[in-house]
Amino acid sequence: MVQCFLIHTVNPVSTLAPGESRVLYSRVFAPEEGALTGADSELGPEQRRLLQNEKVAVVARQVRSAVTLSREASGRVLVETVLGEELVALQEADSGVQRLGRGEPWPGERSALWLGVQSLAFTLVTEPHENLLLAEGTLKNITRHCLEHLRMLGMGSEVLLKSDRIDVLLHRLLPHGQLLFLNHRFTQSLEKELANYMAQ
Amino acid sequence: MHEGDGCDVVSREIGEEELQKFYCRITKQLMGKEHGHDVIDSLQRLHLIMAGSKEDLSALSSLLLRSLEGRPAGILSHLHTLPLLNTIITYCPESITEDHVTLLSKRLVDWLRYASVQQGGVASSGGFFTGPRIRQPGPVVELDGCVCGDFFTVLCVSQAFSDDQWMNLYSFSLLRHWLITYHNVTDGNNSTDADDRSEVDGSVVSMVSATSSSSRLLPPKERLREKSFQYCQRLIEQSDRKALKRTDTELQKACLVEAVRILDGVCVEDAGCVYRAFPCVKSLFGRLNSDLSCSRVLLPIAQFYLNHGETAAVDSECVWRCVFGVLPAECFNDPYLAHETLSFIRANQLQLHSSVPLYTHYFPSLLKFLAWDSPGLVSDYVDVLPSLVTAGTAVELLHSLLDLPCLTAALTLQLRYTHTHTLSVLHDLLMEAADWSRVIQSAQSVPVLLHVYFNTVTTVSDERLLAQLVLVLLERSSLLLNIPKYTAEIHRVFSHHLLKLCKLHPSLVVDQSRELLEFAGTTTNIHSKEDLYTHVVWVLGEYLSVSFDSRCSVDLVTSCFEALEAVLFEITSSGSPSPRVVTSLLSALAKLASRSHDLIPRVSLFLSKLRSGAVSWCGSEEDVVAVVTRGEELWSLLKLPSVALSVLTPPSLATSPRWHRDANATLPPRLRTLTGLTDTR
Repeated sequence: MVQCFLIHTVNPVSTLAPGESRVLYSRVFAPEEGALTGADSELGPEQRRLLQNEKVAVVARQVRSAVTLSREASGRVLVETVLGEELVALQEADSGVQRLGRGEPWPGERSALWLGVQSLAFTLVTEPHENLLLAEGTLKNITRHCLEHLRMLGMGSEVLLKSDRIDVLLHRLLPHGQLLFLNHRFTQSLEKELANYMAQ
Repeated sequence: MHEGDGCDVVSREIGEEELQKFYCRITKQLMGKEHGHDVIDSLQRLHLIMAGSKEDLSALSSLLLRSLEGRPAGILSHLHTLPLLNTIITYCPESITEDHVTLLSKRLVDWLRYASVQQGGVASSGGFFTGPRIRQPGPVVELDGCVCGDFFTVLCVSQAFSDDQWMNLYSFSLLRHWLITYHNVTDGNNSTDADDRSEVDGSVVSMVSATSSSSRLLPPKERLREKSFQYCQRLIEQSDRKALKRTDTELQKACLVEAVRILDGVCVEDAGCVYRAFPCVKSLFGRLNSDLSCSRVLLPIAQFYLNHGETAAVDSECVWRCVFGVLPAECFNDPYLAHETLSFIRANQLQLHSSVPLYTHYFPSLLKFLAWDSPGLVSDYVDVLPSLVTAGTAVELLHSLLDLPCLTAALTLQLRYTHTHTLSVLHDLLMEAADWSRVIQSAQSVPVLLHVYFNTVTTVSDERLLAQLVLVLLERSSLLLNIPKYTAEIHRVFSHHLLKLCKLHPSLVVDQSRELLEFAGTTTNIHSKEDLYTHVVWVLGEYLSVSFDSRCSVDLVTSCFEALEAVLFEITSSGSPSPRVVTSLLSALAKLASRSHDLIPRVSLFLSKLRSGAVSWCGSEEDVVAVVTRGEELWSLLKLPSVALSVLTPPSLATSPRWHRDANATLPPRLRTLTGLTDTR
């Protein structure tokens, strides 16, 4: 299953230090490590939430580095695409997978799959022996929805406003972090429901 | 918990009654048709419950399972039950009791194997067709449009799906994880990841694999395993069909990966299944190995061969040639394939050595992944490189590591150009390659890998091989791609390891004295590789001695002395040599002289010139002081030749830990310590 999904910046942000990444959206599917064994029971809920945000921030920074290095190496010049050209932006997205070693930030190893679309990265973190082909397809699907229906190109603040819609999207396509073997018909059924919801 | 509050904050302990109420509410919500925002909200709060006790989770699991018992109307009613259960079993597998496991195994069998093969009713949202004249839905269809050939799977399509078809999807999606957790099916890749959560011991005596016709007689868990086996075989057949939609083609590959892994796990538990599974997996390999777009499916197949190839007495060499030879060479720029291949190697390192005899010979191909994406993969290669270092590969591997940036440049060109160029054009292109980002990134990963290489190679090499490596070191120090800082870094690594090698095997210095002397005697080396040069001079001074190797003759010591002396004179008579080079030459000459006393006067001559201040070639005041001080020390030592010998060439016994017991034997180490403290090395 998926540990978490996040959307974050990969270009320099004026209000942040170089190399930092702003997390625009995150959804963690796993309960906190140690929550069940009581290892972290001394931490209050607020502290636990901060700890979780910090871990997500670590992932965002690592992926930002990976995206930057990959773009530098390929020497590609990014062409700004506008609203209406989401599919083009998706086709031209850089993609990759970054190994998150033990302690970076979770005790066990993880794999961070990422799609870099212009100034944003969409990242899915899974256990290392997850079905990465399925995870890759799921990530592309989620990203496509985010770009098409949530009109994410160009305007960072829009993402914050529509996080409830992203919640619903994940609720369907990645329920509780479960990857689903969706053929095009199953996907269409879920998308129909989603469209109904978005229209409200 | 706060009602109607969107944020995940628990403000107080959850009471038993409150918990029950919450469970009831959520069960009702799950059974309802619509799933609005409040349902999502409730489900999110379940994460809080995850922080609760195991009893809470058990109670929740019971409720969830009970909700699956009935068949309420509405396709969305069961949507989240299985994913939710999956989360519970991931983090707290013990909260599902043995009875629940059995119960759910039975339900999973129903959904996986006996889902309807008729298309679900058309959605009743009030379409054009209503009433008795509505067309009967036909059978479900395969991905290529043909009528469904057998039972329903995730690779079947329909206008609309019925309840049990949805449950088929959700069941298969969690199947592998379920089998690993509760059915003694292992995660086939022998990973020793301490994060493995599959603790529950099913402990039912494993039955011999029955044929499908008698599967009804099997206990529920074995029956589920059997049905899973059949489901996977069906998926493998279905993946041979040419899907009409591209996204479905990608899904077929994902299904193949999952199916092979489930089969692999089942076979690890029950070796009897291998004879049924192998023909299927083998023909799949035959189908896919020439299709580069299916490269990632070949890795689970390789794992299957690694785990069961011997049981089935099958020759697996073709699989390894493909996975370690062909794929990295052809698909070096696929980041996912690279990541998964390296994960595979890391997870199976021990077994690869014993089961794949030619494994290490594939290193030239395997390095191509690294050459293309060094930043992303260097940490994987730090883990994997030691397994590639053997006596048979050592020399070539060292060359390959040093040539990594060239390989990167060549691969870049390979992608860029479709036809071959003449060597001179290639050479010109390579010169400009030193500026390319990808090449620079690749160069940055080499030093750390060289450290790993050298630390490993000493454990697998005999002296003859180490001698060869010293030669490679000297030779390649001038043959590196000219990238800023790359050469300096590599020289630093070489220097460090040259010292270590010679310390481990001092007789190497006598062995390779000719080449070392040639290197030390070439004054241009001082300017282009000062760091390495001073280290070579140091090892010559330190280890060219009969106490380290009985073959060290007086003639050898003398010729070494003369070579270094000539260099010293040359550099001090013209230009401004680095004081570090001068002092290291002086030290080496003094050491050599202490072993052959005829040479002492010659050193003394030079040293007395230093004392009298003839150091016009020195740069700054500090340099003068450093050099003169060193000169003084050595001159004092050399006035007492036998003391000089003890200090500058202690018997190797002095370095073994008996010396503290003998008052006489402690002198050399003490003097040596003093020398060491004042030595600029």
